[in-house]
Amino acid sequence: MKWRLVFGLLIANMAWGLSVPPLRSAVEDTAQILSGGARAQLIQVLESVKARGHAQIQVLTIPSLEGGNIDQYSIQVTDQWKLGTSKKDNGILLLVSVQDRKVRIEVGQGLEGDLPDATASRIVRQIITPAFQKSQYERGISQAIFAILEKVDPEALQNLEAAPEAQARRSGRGGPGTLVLLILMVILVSIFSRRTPGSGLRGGGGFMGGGGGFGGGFGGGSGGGWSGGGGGFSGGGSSGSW
Amino acid sequence: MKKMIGLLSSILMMGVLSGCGIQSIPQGKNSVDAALAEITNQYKRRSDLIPNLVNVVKGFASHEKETLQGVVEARAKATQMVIDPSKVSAEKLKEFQAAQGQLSQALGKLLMVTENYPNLKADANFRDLQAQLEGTENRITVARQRYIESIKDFNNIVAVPPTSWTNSIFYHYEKMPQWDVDASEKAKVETAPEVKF
Repeated sequence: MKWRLVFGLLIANMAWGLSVPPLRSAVEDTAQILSGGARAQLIQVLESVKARGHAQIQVLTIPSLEGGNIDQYSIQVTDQWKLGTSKKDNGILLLVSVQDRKVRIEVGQGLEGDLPDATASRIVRQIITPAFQKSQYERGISQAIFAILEKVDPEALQNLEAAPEAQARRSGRGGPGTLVLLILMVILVSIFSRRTPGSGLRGGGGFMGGGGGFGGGFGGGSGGGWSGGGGGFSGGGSSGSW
Repeated sequence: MKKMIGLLSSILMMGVLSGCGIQSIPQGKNSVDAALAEITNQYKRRSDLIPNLVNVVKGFASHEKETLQGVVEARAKATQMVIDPSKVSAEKLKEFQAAQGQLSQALGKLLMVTENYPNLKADANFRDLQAQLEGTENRITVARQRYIESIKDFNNIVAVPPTSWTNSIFYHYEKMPQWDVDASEKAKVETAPEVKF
């Protein structure tokens, strides 16, 4: 409730367009289409990927663009959040607007070679759209993240896929296999993050402006500290609708 | 102690200097140049994509000769227009925009025609090219927005005191003409978002 009030105030404060929510974690699920567990797991995966230093991948879901254009809103978000590092410009934003049925993958300047527009477009058309059409948001988003990782940081994916259950993901089966995979993923991630100490502890400034009301939304107990590092975007990527 | 005073005073000087525009004016000019260079860069990227696109479309829709020819000609005209970002005039910019605008129109026509060819639309190669073209158009939009922003910032530091005083003493820059969106594009920007039921 509090959340909504703050968000409403933010919108009211903006002279035009839709406002950008504060960046607090790797998965900002404003539209609330992800379960708490899925969100926590995704956050852990994305934090471990960021710690590897090849890419900072961000998920943002919003209820509606309020008549706006997804391409423009997406660049507005990345201009504010500055995902990725200023040296590598290696941020990626996966933006979903539920009521508009629009999705966009925004690719940072430094990753346009690894994830060209055509590839981003394929991920949107072949992975996200079919899943979203069946309202399988969790599946669409996590599989899209895997597909993106395959391009920008395949080694991170190998770490996650060390388990044979990963094949279930490829054949598209949902159900218990996915659950096992996710649990394995969490184990692997926690092993991995232990190997790079301090990765999840930096900053703490990510909570800025949040107030006490936000603390409960955090899953995984990783300690926060998620923020952009000055990465630049120039409008690369691809949009689609379902 | 002396070192401390030196350090402090140099920090103070830096603060004073950076506030008066002696640094920010040329920096502003540089960002305007860079923003324009990015626009031309993205337009070039678009025209580099076109030969492939034309070839793929030709394979499926060879009798759309006129439309294809229109794109090829508009591209040839647009690539002839080269601008040097560091010394650009308002007229030159207008010509450049007009040439690119015509190419945009020709491309729009071509993409409309492709709607009639389901086989072409299903072709993986064509879809990839289309995605690249869309991406490039989006980059152009972003680059233009940033150019407009950078001109606005530059004009502010050149025209608003106290930095404008520094400008009139040292640099003598004039306010830059704002990038004009032409009529057809304005219409595109201003059309209401489509409503889906």
